[in-house]
Amino acid sequence: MRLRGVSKVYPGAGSADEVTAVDGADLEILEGETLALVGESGCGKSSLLRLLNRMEEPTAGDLCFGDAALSTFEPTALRRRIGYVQQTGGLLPHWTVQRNVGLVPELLGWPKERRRKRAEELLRLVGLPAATYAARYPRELSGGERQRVAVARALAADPPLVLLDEPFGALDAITRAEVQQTFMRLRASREQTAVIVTHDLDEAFLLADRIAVMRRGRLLQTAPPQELIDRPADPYVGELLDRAAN
Amino acid sequence: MTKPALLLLGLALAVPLPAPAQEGEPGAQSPGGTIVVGSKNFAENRLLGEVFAQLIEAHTGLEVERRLGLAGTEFCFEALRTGSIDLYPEYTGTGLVTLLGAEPTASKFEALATVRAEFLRRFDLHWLAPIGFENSYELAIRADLARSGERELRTISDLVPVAPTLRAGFGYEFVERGDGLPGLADTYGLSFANVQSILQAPKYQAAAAGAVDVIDAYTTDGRLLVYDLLVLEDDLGFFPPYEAAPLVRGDTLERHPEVGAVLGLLGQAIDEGRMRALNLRLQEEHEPIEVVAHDLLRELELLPGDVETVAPERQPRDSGLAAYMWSRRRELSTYTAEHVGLSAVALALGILFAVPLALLLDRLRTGTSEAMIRIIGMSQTLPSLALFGFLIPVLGVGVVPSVVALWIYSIFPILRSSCTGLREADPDAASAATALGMTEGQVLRRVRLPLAVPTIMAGVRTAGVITVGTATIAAFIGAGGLGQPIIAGVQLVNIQQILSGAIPAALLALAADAVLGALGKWLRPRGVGP
Repeated sequence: MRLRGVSKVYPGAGSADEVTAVDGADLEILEGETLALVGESGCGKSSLLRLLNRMEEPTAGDLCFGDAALSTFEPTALRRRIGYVQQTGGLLPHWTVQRNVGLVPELLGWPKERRRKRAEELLRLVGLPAATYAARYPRELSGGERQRVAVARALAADPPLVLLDEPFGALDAITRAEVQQTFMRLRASREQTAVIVTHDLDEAFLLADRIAVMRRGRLLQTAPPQELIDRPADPYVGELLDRAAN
Repeated sequence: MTKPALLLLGLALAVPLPAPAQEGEPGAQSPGGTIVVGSKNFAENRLLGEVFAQLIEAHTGLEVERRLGLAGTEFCFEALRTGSIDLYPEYTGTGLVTLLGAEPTASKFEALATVRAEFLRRFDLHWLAPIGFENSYELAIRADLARSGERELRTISDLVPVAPTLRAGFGYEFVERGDGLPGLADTYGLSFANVQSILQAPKYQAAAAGAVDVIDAYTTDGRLLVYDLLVLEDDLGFFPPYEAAPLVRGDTLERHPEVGAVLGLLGQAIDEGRMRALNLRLQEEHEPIEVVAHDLLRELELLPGDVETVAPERQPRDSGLAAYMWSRRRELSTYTAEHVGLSAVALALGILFAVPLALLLDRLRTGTSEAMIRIIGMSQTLPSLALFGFLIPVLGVGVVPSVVALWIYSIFPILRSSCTGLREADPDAASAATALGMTEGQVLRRVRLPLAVPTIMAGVRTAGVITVGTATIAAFIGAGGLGQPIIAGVQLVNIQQILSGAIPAALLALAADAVLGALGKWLRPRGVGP
């Protein structure tokens, strides 16, 4: 996935000024890597993420998925090929865990039995044995279990790319560490490209191959963690790292 | 079958099923024909309607449908003009002044001649032979006020100087009608300390209790005999003559000339004294109208000897409410069935209209749809009688306008809750479903609509209770239901009769609440709600 000079401007509502959420972003997401988008809240990282699966359309610039322009993909078809995990909720409360995990396969028309098997397999991977969890409803799960299900759901149809928007942000520290471990285990077991939005620099260092730092809609630096520490391209990057270190 | 499918099936079945008394062109369906008899909503007029009905039943092969107790002159007249009813008892003075807007006349012959000619010319409506009594307006004053100290009031002119210290309790129509208070005040220069509008029947009690001093009365009102009231002479001859007569549609007489002949039997048959006595039986003895009507026709020897007529069941006097309701069980179960039918059909139509409308509004911007909902919400504030005022010229009286009115009242709660439910049903789930590749339609059908069901059903439940509660108004326009005994009971000041409608109506509202609550629980998707 490549981005060239991508901007997203939200028109002002009423008397409010328009807001530039993403300002001329250039970014390449490499196959198999985990890229973390970090920055303060409101820096545009979630907007950038939502441009990747056409939940938002860019105001300017080009996005390419493989060799083709992103805009040539039909949005719903595209989204079925891109996994997505959001911060909270997101599980359909009236569907069982199994059906939630099998959502994208269901949309893709997989037969029922194959969906069930796939759900079982993924639930096992995220540490939730199907025998216990498959028939439960989301409200019968803890917050951590719900996010595990959400991760399993995002991976169900083997998408080439997974987008995660603050996936562990709403969890308490201990649960977060557990779910992060699960995520790392999953990542190690497959060549999965992932973009994870987080405001938690520690999390970015733990999970990401490369980190992209954003501030006020601009991408300041995209580099592996060590390079960020060694050669911050912008005073803000250094400042952010210092703050995280304390 | 899925729950939504079952629900839709249920709704589809509910719509055509009950329709208690199917409307249509009167007399169009049954082979012998059907005659629809109406009446206004006070005892004497109801009784005359019942007398007409029994007479037609006894002497012709026609079916008679009763729409007694329509809410006032305008309602009756509109119903007659538009063909919802075939005939009703009217008074010549009312026809002249209220319906034609003509100047009052003191001559009853002139009054009859004028209304006959004009109604025929303008509306193709026929005034048949007058029944024999006049029922004019009168003013009555509490006797203790008429004679106090040196003062003795005998005429309306005597009343004029003291009127500014007196409180008047007048009927709704009397306050408005040209041949009522406005004209009277002009003619005599009369003005009261204050004027309250009260239903005809409770006026007497209000006067007896000292809550009002002067009331409008009818010449034939039996209660003048009972309460300590003094009738003031209309010394300037203001009140026009009000001869009672059947008012019948021209096309009805053409189709069934026998109706005219049969009603002619009542010509000059009842004088004021007899009418007063009959009214007293209704008003003070609380005898059922059917019984009094039957007795009258027997006394007049107007029931054919060879036709076996079964006298309606007599009500043992001074029995308890339970015994009263038991003795009226047949009527009450009919009223209950009508009530449930009207409510169910209106509610089903409300759901079938409001939920799709909510889906439509959901596609608009929040501000726009909110504005639309608010506009539709104003329908809720329309008083039911005003609503009937709009509906009757178009839909006539009876079941159809009643269902339409109830339907209008049911829309808003369902629409409101459906819109809220759709908008607020777990937006996180909806956005995640979109992000994972559901189309807009899939998100609506598989996520937002199922999640909105509990909220929608809460609105349906509210609408159901409102509809069942409001369905009592159907009786105002002759569609029956449990409002029938309530309204009749209010007019006849018969507490038992009122309760015999009010108690089942209240129980029905509770039952509707319970049933719709259970239905909501059943329809609620698993994993959602408490």
